[in-house]
Amino acid sequence: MQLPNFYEHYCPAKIIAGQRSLSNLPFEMGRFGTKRALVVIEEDIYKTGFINLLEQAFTDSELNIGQVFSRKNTRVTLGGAREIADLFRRSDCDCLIALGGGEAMDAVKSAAILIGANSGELPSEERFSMTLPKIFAVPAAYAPGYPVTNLVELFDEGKKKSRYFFSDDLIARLVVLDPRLTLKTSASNRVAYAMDALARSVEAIMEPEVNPIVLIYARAAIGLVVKNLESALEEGKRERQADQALANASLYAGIAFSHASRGLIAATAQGLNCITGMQTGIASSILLPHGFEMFSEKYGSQIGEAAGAFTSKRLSATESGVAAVRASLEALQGVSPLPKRLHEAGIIESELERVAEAVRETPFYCESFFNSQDVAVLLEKAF
Amino acid sequence: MLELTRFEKTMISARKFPVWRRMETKAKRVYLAMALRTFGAAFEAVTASSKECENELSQWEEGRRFALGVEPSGPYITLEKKGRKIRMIGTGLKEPVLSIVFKNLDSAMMVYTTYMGVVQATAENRAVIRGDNGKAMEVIRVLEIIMTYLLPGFILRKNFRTAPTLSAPQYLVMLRIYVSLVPSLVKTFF
Repeated sequence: MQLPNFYEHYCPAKIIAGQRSLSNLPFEMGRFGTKRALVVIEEDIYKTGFINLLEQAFTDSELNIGQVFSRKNTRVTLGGAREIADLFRRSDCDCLIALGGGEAMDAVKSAAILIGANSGELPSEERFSMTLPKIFAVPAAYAPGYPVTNLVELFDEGKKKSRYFFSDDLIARLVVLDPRLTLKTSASNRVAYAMDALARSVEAIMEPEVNPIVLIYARAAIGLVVKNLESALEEGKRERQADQALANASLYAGIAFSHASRGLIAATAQGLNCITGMQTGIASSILLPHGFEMFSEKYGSQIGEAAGAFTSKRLSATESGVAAVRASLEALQGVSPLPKRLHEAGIIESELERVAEAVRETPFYCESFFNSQDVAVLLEKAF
Repeated sequence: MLELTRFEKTMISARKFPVWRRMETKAKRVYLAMALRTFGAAFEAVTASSKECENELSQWEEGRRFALGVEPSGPYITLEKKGRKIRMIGTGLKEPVLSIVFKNLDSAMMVYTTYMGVVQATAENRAVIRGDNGKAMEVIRVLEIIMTYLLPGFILRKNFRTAPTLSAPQYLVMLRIYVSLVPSLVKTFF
């Protein structure tokens, strides 16, 4: 690639991945000068007993868990975030741990903003400047990029709308990927997360202001997904390595995408999620081939550079450049058990207009990169 | 769906109880304390008999004191170079100039149950080195030699990238080490 005249890339997250990595969390927390953590966990993850693994890691160390907050798997609201912030103050904690998927992470980020604000009120500006408590993430789903983005979505019940906030302090300082925690992910969810990671990586590469670091992470994510998706799908087969590879791919895709955090597929998937409740991973999987076709002409040379990551003996995509990517995407879609069209996923045509409107409200929408006409075309093609 | 093993599931459920968690921590500490003492004895026995160790130690300054252990609160052992061999000073940290400590009990357990080699563990940053890095590497090299003489071949093949093969004279040294390990162990534990 051509080196840009100027670029900056910030990702302070330390990644600890692999066997027994959860046991390292207290030691690393200590290095950040924190001693007492408030753990926010999703209810269904709590039921799996994974919290016991975290508690054992703390029992082995000299640090401790101040309080565990188990929350329902619902959208993060201002009221919910206040509850966590109050508990944080009452239990005298000095850092937050998110154990679970994207919602646990959003809950922790939202609470961190309220703790930082001290007043219990959200800042009036989307981009604010204040010191927040340290955040540590232990994804128990692949959670594409949530721990490593400087963004949080929060539903304000008073204003009856979603609000988005940005701050570099919202990026987790530590991300722990322990293979034991992602094993219970179902096959369909695994594909959804992997396709989401793929979509984010492709969009990160197609970004006009792409930099070499983004390219490195995106290529790594694509390579891992292409190589491991099939193995991770085999029901009953204990392919832990493939599972862990996809978890890592999701994280890398998040790091690549968080550089600019904008993209047609990401914004449209988010819009579909807001209006229809469709999982963003499934939406990304459906939208990716169509979105890629729309932009491949414009950003063909950039995609060509990442084509090497797509080629895999398993999928026998031997063509080069854009054609190789197209062939790989088709092959991946072929093995994926997810729906291929929006109508197959239960979306009705009359909803598309509302979705298109919602896309404009998402933080991934960028008028200078694509417009509402592009969104409408993408939705129509994917329907 | 991918699944946890039955053992993993049982362990996760058992850890729900604080009493179990404390017991598990205690058990790990007791095991590691014993393993470290055994290693201390092995240091004495192997460095007294092995030619390779003698070569390595010839570069060391007299009285180099180093510790092996686990963060945050032990167990630890401290050892010292004395003459042509290494002597165990005792348990705990006794003013070492260099220490190689595992970041947590689980990482230490992986090494001291021979699930993973010490070189791999340090390469994976599972241990922290405090002191001179070059000297730490020298200690790790000696540790590798000790492992070579102490552990059976199938474990070495699992833990070493290129498993060492012993010659006939080295097997005789190995026998001598096992014999001399007994008094060292008695001295260390009693």
